[in-house]
Amino acid sequence: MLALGCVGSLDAGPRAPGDAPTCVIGETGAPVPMRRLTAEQVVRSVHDALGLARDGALTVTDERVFTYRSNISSSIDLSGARGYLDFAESTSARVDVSRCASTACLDWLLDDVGMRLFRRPLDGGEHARYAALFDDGQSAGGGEEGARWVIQALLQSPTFLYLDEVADADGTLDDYSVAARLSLTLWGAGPDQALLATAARGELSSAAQVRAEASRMLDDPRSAGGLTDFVDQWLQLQRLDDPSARPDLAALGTETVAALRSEPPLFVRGVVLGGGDLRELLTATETPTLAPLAAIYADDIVGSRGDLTQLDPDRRAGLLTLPGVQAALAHAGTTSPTLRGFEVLSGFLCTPPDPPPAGVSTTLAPPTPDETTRQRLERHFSSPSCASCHRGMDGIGFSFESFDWLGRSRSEEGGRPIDDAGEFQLGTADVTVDGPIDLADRMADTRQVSRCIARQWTQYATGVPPTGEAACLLDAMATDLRSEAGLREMILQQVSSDWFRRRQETP
Amino acid sequence: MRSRALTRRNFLGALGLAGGAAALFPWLAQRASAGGAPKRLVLFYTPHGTVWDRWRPTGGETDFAFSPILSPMSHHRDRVVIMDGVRIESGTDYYIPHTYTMPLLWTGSPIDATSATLFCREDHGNRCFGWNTGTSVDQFIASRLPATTPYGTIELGIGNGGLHPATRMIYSAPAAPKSPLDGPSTAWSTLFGSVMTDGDALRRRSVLDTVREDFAHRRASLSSRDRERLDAHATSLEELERALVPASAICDRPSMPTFDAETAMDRQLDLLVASLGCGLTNIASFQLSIGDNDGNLYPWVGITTGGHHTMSHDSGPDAQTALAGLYTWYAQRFAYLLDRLAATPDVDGTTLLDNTLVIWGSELGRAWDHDISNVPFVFAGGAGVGLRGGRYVQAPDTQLNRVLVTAMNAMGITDVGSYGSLDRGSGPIPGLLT
Repeated sequence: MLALGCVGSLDAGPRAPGDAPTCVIGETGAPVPMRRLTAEQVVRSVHDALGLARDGALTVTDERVFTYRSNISSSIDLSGARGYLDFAESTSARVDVSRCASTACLDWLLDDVGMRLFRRPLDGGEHARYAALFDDGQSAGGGEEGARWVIQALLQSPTFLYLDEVADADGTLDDYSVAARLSLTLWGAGPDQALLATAARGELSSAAQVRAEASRMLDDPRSAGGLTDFVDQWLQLQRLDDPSARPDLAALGTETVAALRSEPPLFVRGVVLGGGDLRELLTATETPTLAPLAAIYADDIVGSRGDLTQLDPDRRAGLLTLPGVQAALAHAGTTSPTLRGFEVLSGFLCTPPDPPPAGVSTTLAPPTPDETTRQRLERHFSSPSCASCHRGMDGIGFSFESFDWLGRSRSEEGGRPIDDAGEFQLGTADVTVDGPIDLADRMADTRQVSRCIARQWTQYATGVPPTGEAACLLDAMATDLRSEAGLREMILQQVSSDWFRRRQETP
Repeated sequence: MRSRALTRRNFLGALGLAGGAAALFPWLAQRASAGGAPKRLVLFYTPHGTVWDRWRPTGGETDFAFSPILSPMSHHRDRVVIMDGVRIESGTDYYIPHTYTMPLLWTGSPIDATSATLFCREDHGNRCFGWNTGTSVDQFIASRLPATTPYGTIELGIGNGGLHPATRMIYSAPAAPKSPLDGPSTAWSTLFGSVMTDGDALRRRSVLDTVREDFAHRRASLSSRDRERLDAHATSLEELERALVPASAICDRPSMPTFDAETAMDRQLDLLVASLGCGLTNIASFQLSIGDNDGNLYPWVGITTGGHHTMSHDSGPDAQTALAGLYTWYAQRFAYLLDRLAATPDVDGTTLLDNTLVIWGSELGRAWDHDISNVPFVFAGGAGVGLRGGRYVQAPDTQLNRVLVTAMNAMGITDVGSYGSLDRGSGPIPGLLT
């Protein structure tokens, strides 16, 4: 029996055992305070509504709640207000407002751009206010100037920057509020005109209607936005662009780093659209083709099918073995079985280990030429206080030792053969696996993994950690994920649930 | 390099040149008529404590010898007080290291660990907490002094990360963190980058008026907590309008800084000094990195793997030696700040350092065991704020809140003997000020 006293569990509520949950999904909504859009959501929304190329000019920071960005508690200070001002001004300078030079364009500004940014039609007061602002700008510098003034105000308005949710007495959100939640979750951006029209017709009122609309939205190319926000945070892919975490990666060139970071969300989107289940997510050997990754995959590529690359099933299996994931969970020039194991424990089993106890030396002696990374890390195990957690983390992480710090396959390290056997606890069972393919196979059969992924998605989608009241929803989502309908059904189950569609007053 | 200093002559020149500037920018007139130089305050933060046996001076109160870490500031000996013995108390039953003391450092009030469940730590038994329950002392002082500058306070930093209690030390109110202007590019463009024309002023006023009406319209339908957040945002817009002035009306604009990872902090400190010298504010803070697991590398002092936070947990001799090298680098930066303040003339012919109190603190005393019973502090400044420099003060178990009251007293607020909800009272650090 391995000592795993350090491992916590994120599950707060009751849980039905086995694969046949008997509990009934509740009718309460998640307790979500007023949310301010994340920087990514702002930039994407503006890009969509104004037809601009994306750039990263917004410097306002986001809150981290658990693993996911969610602005539910803080207020905007002077530097934040300045960040929005600068973004609004630089954006308005890039918009093509030539249509406003000679003809009236208020319809476009308010009923198209404004409605999309506010995620609902402007009310009478707003219409009058913004029309007056346009007139002031037009007097100062013509119609184009008027348009820029209006755009600058729209982009700094609280109605754009904060979710403006309307609920009835029992907490059910109105159709526009549901549309906004759906689009920010699934697209990572505000709604389009079609979605707003659906809301206007009152067709987002029932679970079935929401499910149908969400299904359309997943098929839309824009779902790449929401799935990127989810996968990127879930798998800590921001480490790939963090020079303090990976000072070595910039040398690969921006195209390669961008491909490393974008492949995992594209892969997950492929599983969603292809109707894949947990096993597909964790073991598929076809992945979207990204040219800059060919050199990293090297001999692991065995063929292609359409725009998919086929990978050697003895070397690669599913999401966790993508080079971007393995590279993100490594250090410069060396792998990190600890980071890789932590991600599995935290992101796939929802049992993150505690931090090192105080005063324990966490710096291993430098590597020597006659040992592998694995042998070096196994020194953790000689200290009981380190071993209690590191056996669990590193024991999983060792299974990935056949991938180097860039996610390339390797069979040796410094002339020594790689040992990628892993030994750890999965659920309540002691497990020994023979490398990453075997690990993925085991995880694909583990209910705890499907439930943890359901939990990750739910936290991402609502912006707050699920409480015990969502336990039965998570169970049902976990069952969906392992059923034929798979990941897509898990997402649809969640966004059509009361947990997503209703609001619970927050304290 | 062109001098960024505001000389008395070109300050007056700017006033004369601007003609009606005094009417447009009342703080200029106030400043000119007030005569004497204002008192100023700078809070300076570096993460993760120190290495005590290389930080602690030897000798007595006045005949001390600088330690290896603090020796870079030895040429400012008469302007510094090294304070050994400041104790931080978390004020909570359970203490999450870094996270609970970072927001406590300048507020003297505990984190909300009882009622709030906004932030949860998976790695601390899923324990949840909220923001700090107090206001930081710089913000309180600014609220008590007449508003004579475009900015009440200015917060600058390097590598300050996303919004989280462990990453923010300045609070304008309970649960209202202020984010530093992160990095010299953002700081320069915000403070000095905009050259505003009359047309810009008209446009911004019209745009922000419209936005403000949206705020008023929106707040009616919100819960009280959400309304507080929205109101704070609206207040920030008002502050923003006040700060949007042509920098050219105030002083020589520093040119846009160029920097790399190693020099970014010095360039940020240049901007901090320029903000004080130009009269943009009298109260500023600087925050290096975050009070959290930062992973920062400092290759120029030999920290090339692992990151500062991870290394700081290591009590072994090799790690402690490497950390002492990093803390010495911090002291060099602190000394650089004092150099710049000493080189910048004030309006009355003295220097900024004469009229400024600089306080250097950290969220921990000793990182490897997260000790907070003795946290290293250094005070620096001159006669204008009454600092009795040239001393090494050993005063074990001095409550952190004494530091905060000292800051208030130095800034002329002497009617308050305690600060922060954890304060058990008894005024400033004895004998620190004249």
